[in-house]
Amino acid sequence: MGYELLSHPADVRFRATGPTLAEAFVSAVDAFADLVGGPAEGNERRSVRVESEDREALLFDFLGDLILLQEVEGVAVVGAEAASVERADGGYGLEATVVGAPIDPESPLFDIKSPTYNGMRVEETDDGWTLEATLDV
Amino acid sequence: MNPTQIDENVYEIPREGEMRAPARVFASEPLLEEMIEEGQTLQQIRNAATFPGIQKYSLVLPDGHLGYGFPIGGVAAVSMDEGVISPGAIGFDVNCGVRLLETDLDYGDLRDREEELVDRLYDLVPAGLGKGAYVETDRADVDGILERGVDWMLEHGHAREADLDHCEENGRLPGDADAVPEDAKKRGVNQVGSLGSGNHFLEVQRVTDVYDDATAAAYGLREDQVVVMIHSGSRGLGHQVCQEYIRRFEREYPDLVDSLPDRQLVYAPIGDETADDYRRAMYAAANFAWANRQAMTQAVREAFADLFGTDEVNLVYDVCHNIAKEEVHEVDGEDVETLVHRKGATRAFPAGHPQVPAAYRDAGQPVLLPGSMGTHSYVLAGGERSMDLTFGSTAHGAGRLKSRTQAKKDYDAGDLQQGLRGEGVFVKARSGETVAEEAPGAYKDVDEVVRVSDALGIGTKVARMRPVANIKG
Repeated sequence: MGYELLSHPADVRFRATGPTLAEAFVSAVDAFADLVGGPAEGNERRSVRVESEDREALLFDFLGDLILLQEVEGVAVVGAEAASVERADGGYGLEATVVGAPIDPESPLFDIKSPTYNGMRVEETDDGWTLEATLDV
Repeated sequence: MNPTQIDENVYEIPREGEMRAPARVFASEPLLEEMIEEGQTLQQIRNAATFPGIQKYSLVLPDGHLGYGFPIGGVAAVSMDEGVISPGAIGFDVNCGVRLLETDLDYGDLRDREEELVDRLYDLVPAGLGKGAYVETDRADVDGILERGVDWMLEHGHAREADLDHCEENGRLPGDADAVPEDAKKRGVNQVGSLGSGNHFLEVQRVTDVYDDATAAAYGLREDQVVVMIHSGSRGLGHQVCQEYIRRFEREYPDLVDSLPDRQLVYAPIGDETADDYRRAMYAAANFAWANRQAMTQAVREAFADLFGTDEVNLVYDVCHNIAKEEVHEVDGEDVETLVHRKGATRAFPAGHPQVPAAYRDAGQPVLLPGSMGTHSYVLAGGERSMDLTFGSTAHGAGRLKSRTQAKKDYDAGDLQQGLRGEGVFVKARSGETVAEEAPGAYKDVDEVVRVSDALGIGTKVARMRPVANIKG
């Protein structure tokens, strides 16, 4: 269980897996942090909560919030401590504790523009859950 | 099904299934082969032909490649009466685009000072995530920029009067700050004058070849001249606009989402409140992108004044390549009001077109076509046949050939930088990975893209440049 960075002709793409959907989302944060290239650890904690109509939209919205957090707060996402996913209002709710580290202006990081739906997968497998997403860079 | 050749460098995919029109590919055989090998580019341009109100055909240009939902290098014109607007057919980076600055320096004037120049530019123009921007702005400033674009920059001392005359739409579309989501504005604060990452760059170049003396002179270009090219867009602000409107479209048109070949292609009928809000927000984000490139222009002016004592750093032109524009096009002998979606495609209006800024009405609109950091970039002129063939459009660059992961495996950043330096190209990037990902070998052959554009008569060759110094995020 974990993640791998996948090939994409123009942008960047990852696959994240976990025994549960929530743990697959934690792996997705690790993949995102790897792409950004910030420090391995951090002391900042942020609670991120999204509600979306289906699982793909949940992943799209969650990745969007990670990007927003980095740009607005100047914090690099380095990982996630925990996440939980539940059904909510005919859709899904995700709550995650994201770990970050302040970005050193002298060492700027890789700037991700946006999540996309391109080739997005949120699937239950024999081993748990697999998420795949392409990020526009 | 592979496309059928209908003319030199023109292929057609017939209408089938859900398509409302055929699709066309404007490419030479080798460029078409690359699109077929990649797998999805042609399917994506077929999908674009499913848009309600599509006129003539959806099309992909010679530098076309896989995008998300809609291909890079894709154009779809829809009628304003019956058509739709699709954020995915414009791109997340609204008004990602290119501008070119000309100077009064010759290449000899900066020989042996390239390193000093590249360091100075890298210090002045923030690149990557977290380094701020050249122009300090607050929320109120962002609102002003969203509404007034380069006019705001001029009012606040960040532009010259002539900059407005040499910019597509004079650097201002009818944007509405109120239509721009709050989080987008938050992302935009302190990003006015910042490069970003990916394929964005600021590059000092020298003009090596002039193909069309009269047009080059009209554009202020001459052989051996030092010019500067800037490629960036609307930064986090524009990305957030696209992202949030795609989500709003999805929530408001759930049945449509279920029926689409690709969720990223979600659209709304022009005239619906959601569609019109998006259009006004997209125009506002376009204004922000122009302000961003304008701010970087000011940084270049500061660097050239400090290092070379010149203030002759003038805007040749600034083009959008991710945008939808209201334009009149002839379809079946009638003038039709259309909304032309261009994603990774450049407007290429010929001489005499009323939407070409007055400064270039006689010469035709300048088209700026960047190559990779080891190859050429080009200036073209909007071609006579562009109106007939491609809704007044041509290519926007070289187009990627290799994935970023593959490029990182294939190239060593140190070797690349050393090799380029041997060829007189000084590169300074945020990281070695950035250099490897953007290696010249990761891109298509820009010379072939330009040859096809020129042969089709949609964008004709004016001048060619070689990189001298390049900064990247």
